[in-house]
Amino acid sequence: MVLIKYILLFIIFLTGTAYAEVFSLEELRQLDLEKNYPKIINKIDNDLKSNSLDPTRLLSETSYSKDIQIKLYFKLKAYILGIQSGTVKPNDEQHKQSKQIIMMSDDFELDNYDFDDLIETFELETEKWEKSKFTLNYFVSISYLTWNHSLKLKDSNGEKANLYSKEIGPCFGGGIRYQNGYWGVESQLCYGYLSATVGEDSTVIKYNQSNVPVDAVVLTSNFLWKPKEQVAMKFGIPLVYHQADYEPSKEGKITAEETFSFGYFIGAEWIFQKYAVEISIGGIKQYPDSFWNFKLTYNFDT
Amino acid sequence: MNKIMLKYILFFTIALCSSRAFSYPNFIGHGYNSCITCHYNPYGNGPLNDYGRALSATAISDRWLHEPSKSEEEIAEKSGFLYMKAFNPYIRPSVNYRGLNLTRNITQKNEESTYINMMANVNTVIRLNGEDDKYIASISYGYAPTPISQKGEDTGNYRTREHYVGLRPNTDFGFYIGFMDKVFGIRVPDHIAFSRSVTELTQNDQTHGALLHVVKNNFEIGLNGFIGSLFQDTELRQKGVSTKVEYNVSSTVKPGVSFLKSTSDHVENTLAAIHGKFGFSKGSSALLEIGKKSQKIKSTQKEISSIYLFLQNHMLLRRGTYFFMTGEYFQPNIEKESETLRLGPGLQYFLVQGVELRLDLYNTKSYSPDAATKDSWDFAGQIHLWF
Repeated sequence: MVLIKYILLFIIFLTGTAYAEVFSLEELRQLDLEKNYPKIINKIDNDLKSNSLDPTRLLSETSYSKDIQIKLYFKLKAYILGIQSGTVKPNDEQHKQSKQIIMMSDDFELDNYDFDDLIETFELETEKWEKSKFTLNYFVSISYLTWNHSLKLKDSNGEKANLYSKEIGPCFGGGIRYQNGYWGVESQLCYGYLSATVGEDSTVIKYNQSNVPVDAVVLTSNFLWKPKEQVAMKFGIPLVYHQADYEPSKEGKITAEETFSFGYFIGAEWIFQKYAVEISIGGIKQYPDSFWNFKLTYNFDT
Repeated sequence: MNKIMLKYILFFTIALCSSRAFSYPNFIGHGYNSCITCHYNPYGNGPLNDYGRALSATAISDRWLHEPSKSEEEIAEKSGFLYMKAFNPYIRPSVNYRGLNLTRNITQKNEESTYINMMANVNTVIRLNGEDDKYIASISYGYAPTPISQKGEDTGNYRTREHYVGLRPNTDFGFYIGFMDKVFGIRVPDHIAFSRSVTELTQNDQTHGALLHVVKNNFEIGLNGFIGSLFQDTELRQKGVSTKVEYNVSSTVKPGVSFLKSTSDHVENTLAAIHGKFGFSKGSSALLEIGKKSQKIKSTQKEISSIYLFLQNHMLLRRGTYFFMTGEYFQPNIEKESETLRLGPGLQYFLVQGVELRLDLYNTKSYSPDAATKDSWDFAGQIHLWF
């Protein structure tokens, strides 16, 4: 007898958790009133398991009793309202189960339980959750950029003048972006092959040179704010390496202000599927006037 | 009625209440891809219809001046003249004003700032059957500033800006005759845009003519025959024909082509353009127009062709507030290498229906193999009122 008693106690101990969590619909309604959503989910999952139902394989059953249907309704409701209230953290497993309950809900015979509002809220919360997930993307880009560079000219007579180099051309590159639906950061590197027209800002020296080849490397680090899914505003810092073969006037000398420089820009981006178009405007230290960038980007899947 | 009296009446009206109201092509971002949804004129400009007024009061404008408890329906209902309900089935009056503060050559020695009254109009649309907009007569009369090129001359600052009769027996066909804007390209409100100025399609380039407007099988087609402005000297009148064909790929994708041919005693113009209007997310958009203009001087038979590009992207930040970037390209003579590029950010805010504030910064760069010139920076602040 003593042995049987211990065996029984051992069995109860092993299965105790499950049985302890089995509950009536009344208790469930009470928890619902108390807005105790995590407990509802936990209890229903345990209840389903105790009834040999795997919550992760709900669709494998063709039909459920009314009692189970009500519990699935409360499970869905608790998950959705729990997310809304911040007491339940969305997760892939519960989300998948919620989708399965929604798929089955058409066949449920529950007159007093409204799924429509729940489904609408679920879709909204799903969208929010998806938007909050961060992804890492790689992209390639082709830009058309332009800036004005500042030079100094000293001719054979020792006369000095400031020169103005207007430079424009394509920049090929790529980068990496870490973002969710609301904001993100990115870094990009591109190599530019620009063409410069150089002229004087002086009445003393006359100088003009066109089609001067310019090499540039531009590294940008950007912060993105996405007010809507397909548009983004960018705030960035470009680091610019610049090198050009300016020809000085006879026996004169030309010096560029800086080889390396940095700046800032503000940009706007419009995203169409895997492509994005960006227009940016900003400035670079030591460069007179502004820096423009028109960019077409192709994003690779993560 | 003499001019002075008319002037006082006009400004008194504006002071009391105050447009030629506008909805803009960038509203394709909201799914509105055709001007006729909101305007009496099928190609926009001019007074808004009842639906357009309600839309501008609700979907477009900010609502923070309204009580939170006020429903969108209530706001829409009181979107008529002076925020009233429509009080007469036959008449739709409106007034509008647009003022511009323009600062040129910012931070330069020759910086100058001017305030320009761009327009101040009184408009009336008469719905001839008193039931709907099938048969209408529209007139806009008001102030227009003297063009800079004619400064000091008496150009007649008070004049009709638009007047026409429209017959639209059904939604598919409309016929309009009178004094209207020519049909060509995307009718953006940026009057200094190359797509408007180079093509001579700015705010004072209306012409007398007739317009056939057809909407069928996702196509929107306009055919416009014109005889020039009868207010101009006969020899200056540009007579000709223009057409615009657009196709609704979806509610947010609408490409199109335009063509215009006109001639006066002195010059012959041929314009051709392709354009596209695209909506992104809810409220954001991209407008693109690429065009070519060929102008032949009849006396010399010399022809110059120019090319322009207009790209403007709007981003809806929150209801009523748009950030946008405008990029433009212009090559005045395709046989020469000189080019002008203009780029600038802007902010547009619809405080409430009938009140629009807009800020534009323009950075212009000129490229030529013969010279390296400095950029120019201009700033424009606009207030636009329509009631």
